[in-house]
Amino acid sequence: MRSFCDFEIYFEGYFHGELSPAEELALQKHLQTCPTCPTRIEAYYSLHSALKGYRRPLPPAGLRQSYYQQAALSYERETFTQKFILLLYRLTSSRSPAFRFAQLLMLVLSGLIAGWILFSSPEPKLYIPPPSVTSLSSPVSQEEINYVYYYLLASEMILLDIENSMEQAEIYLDRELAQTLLIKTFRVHEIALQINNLQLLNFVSQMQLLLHQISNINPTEISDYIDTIKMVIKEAKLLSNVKILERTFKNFHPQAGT
Amino acid sequence: MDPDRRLVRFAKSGNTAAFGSLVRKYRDPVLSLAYDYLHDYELAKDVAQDTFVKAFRHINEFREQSFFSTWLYRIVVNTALDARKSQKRRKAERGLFKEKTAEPSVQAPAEPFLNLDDSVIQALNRLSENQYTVLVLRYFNDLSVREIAGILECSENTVRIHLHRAMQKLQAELRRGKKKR
Repeated sequence: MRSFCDFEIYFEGYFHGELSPAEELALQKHLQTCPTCPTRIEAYYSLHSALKGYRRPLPPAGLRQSYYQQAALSYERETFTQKFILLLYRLTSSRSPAFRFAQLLMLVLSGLIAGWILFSSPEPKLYIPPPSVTSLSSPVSQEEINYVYYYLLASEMILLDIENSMEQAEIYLDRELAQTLLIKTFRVHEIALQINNLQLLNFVSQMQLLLHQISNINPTEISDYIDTIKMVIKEAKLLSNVKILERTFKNFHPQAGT
Repeated sequence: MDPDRRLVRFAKSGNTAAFGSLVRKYRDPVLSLAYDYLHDYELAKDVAQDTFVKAFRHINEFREQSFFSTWLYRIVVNTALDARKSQKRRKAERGLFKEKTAEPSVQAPAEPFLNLDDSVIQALNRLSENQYTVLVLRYFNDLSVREIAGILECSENTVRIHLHRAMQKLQAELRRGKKKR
């Protein structure tokens, strides 16, 4: 069975030289001990090299020249705002009766608009700001913080997979990752209790239910349940919550795994 | 600091020559990025042209919290994605009403990607919109995770996850392709 490894997510940054020295060192150490990652990183590297070899064909003859000419026109045309400013300027510089009538009309209109803004009832707010980032209330070990952080990363991965499945003909759900996460959920729940972080506690409980559902669904019947799962994610705001929690735990995550 | 800051400030004050310099600087990268989405230079040209018109119209709304290039690429990505959707819709409609309409088909290039295997191309076409976008920006346009996060207005972790998933999916598709052969 294919199991998810916390370090897989660092492969891509490793080949692009974008990992911090601590992350790179942790990954190198991990590669010496992990039984599966060395094979996976090799496969990853061959695909990485293939993609790096991508080249676009040259544009057809003459296209580039006509494109350059058209691109130059894009800023020579007057925009609506510029036209409006110019019209105002022309109006203010004339003293005709038409201009005076326009002035009076604008005065009445601005009065009406100001009255409408002042006396109309305020619209209900559609956007409710997310809760602020909470801080950890009691110290926990670095290992436990890393454990929670990786759990959150993997949870975001699962949630994004479900979100992405809407755009695809086939539904992609990593059931092995869901099962691995479900096992990890219990420890994260304990840590959440230990540090008394209600936000994490709520998130873990909701994830637990969701992971249960995903792990137990028959792969052939997954399309029947995907809308229900999406609704649960949307109603519980799991994606926005996981991002807030990631920020909370990232501050306590100076190294990639210890 | 944004290397285009001075030009952007001049362009905001209505200096069209400054905007012209920005267009000259970015016209090739913008065309290339649009091509990566559409694989059709005629359509890519329209998207690139549209991008500059939008950028010129809304330059005063650019708050300079990111680089100008990030803001411009965000416009390209959104415009190209819209064009890609209508391209797909047109193709589907053409397939449905093949006999009824005699609309000429959009000329597709013989080789939309050079140096890439057919299996990789097929696998690329099966990625989701987000996964394809991050892959295009990362591998075909050499942007960093931070820059991509700026363009897509999401966290760096989200970009890493999309990249990781895209690579995993490509590997799986390639393995499946090899087995079939």
